[in-house]
Amino acid sequence: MVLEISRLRQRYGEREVLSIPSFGIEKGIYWIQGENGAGKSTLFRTLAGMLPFEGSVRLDGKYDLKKDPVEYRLRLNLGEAEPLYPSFLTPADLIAFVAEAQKASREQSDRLTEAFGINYLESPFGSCSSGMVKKVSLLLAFLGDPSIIILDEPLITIDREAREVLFELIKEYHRNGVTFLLSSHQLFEQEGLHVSQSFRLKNKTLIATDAL
Amino acid sequence: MKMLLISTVSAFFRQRAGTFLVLLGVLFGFLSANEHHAFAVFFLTGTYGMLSLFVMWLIYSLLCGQFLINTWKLPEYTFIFHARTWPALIRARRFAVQALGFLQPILYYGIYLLVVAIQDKLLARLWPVIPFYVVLMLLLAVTAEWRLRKPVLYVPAKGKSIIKWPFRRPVSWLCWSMEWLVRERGITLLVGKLGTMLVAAGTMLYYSTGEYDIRMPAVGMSLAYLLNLGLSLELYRWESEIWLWGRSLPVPVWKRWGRVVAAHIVLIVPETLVVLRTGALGFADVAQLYLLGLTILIVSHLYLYKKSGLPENAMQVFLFGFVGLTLLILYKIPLLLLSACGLVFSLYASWPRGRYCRK
Repeated sequence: MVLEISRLRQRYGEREVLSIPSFGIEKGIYWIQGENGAGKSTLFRTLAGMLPFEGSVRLDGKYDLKKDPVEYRLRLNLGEAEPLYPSFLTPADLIAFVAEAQKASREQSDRLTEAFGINYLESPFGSCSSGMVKKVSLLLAFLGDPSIIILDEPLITIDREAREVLFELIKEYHRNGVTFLLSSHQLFEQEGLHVSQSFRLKNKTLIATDAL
Repeated sequence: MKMLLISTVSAFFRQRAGTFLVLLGVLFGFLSANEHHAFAVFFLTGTYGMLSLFVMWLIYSLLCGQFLINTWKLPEYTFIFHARTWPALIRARRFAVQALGFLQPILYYGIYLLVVAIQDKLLARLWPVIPFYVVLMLLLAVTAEWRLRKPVLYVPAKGKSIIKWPFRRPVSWLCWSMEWLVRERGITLLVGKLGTMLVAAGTMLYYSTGEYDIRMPAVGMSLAYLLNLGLSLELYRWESEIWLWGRSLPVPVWKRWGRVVAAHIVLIVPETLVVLRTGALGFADVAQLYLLGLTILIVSHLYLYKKSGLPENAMQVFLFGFVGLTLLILYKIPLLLLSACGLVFSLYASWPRGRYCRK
């Protein structure tokens, strides 16, 4: 199993948002669906180690998010739906910082920068449009050598060129063994992306859509 | 009306929580009841008493006005411009109430002045406070009306910065944290550091008036260092709100803990320099106080982290913590031992285990 979730529970105060008894996926491209507010972003943030939770999450059968926080995070990248970065920083600052943390090579970050057409490396995020910020967040999600890349609503606010680059990168990384968890209200098949399976986040848990 | 109060007035107090925390700490931790009374009597009877009071209140009101103007400019506040459709009288009334919401701290102080005036039979001197309130309320209401009539129809570009470093920005979490504090929380930083330096200076002044051992400055400086709690809270927000995504990066727990310690090491340098500058204590003593201060803040920061912010009963916790620490200091427990225990405890408690994974 590339990703195994066991007895995962997530709460905001007294309100339970997620309760997933067990869930596992093999290598592939997975589409996570759900209504607005169903908890998709919370699930992704939890899997990325951004939020405290109950239960266990394992990667590649051996990296536990709680027991191996660094090894786990090295192998799971998250591109947030609406990324927010400190307004005074520039994309160049952030890419250098994340590349170092994710042990990504200079060549890789340069290649991704060029692919996404990020030619505003020295402009502070405060002066960037939401699409420009989103492209940087997508670039960051591809840095390093991840086993899983989670892309939360990857298509919102980006232009057609960036969209094409994104789908090419997903296909390329997938060929190299990377698993993707994607959430979107738009269909991916139209873009020539073969989705292995779809899941719907309903009643706080993940259910295969063919089981619905 | 409720929308105005929640979106603007509550947001003001929430965003300035750190500043207000430090101010409250300075006002109620450093100044005694007699000194508060003396200030009130000065405002009521001094030649420039009322003028001084008005200038201070005006500065506070201008800060509120600046917040209002800048906040209503933000893209997420465009909804506020629907208020333009309210009838003039309703708008005036609502903006007046909003202004009173901003002016709450000085309204409460006005009540204190009233009590002092009654007690000291100075009621006749209190009347200028009423026109002050009216003027300041009008100032804030007019500010709101002005912003409403001049909506910002663009997203301001922040491309050019006044500060232009001659070198590339270091790729360092610590540098970014400090830069964020200076850029985004400048007033909190200024007030916070002024408050702590004032308490540090007061402590050393008191220390120089008699024969005391290290315990006396240890208690005073503990309070001074604890007043950095507002800034520590801002650092917590930076890490857990402004840049929550950073938690998904592969950084070891000890390194994350080290970053928090490093940020606080830098944060408490100014008041420590004030203590050193007085020359009343040797370097070894100052180093002990510095380590104790660092420990207090790291343990406090851990509390913020475990409680995901500043809970409502936090002041009780910090008060009891401070009283407990004071007792330990008075019972001659070595300061270095207290510091070592606190730091080891904070590292141990930061380690992820059990039901919740925090770091």
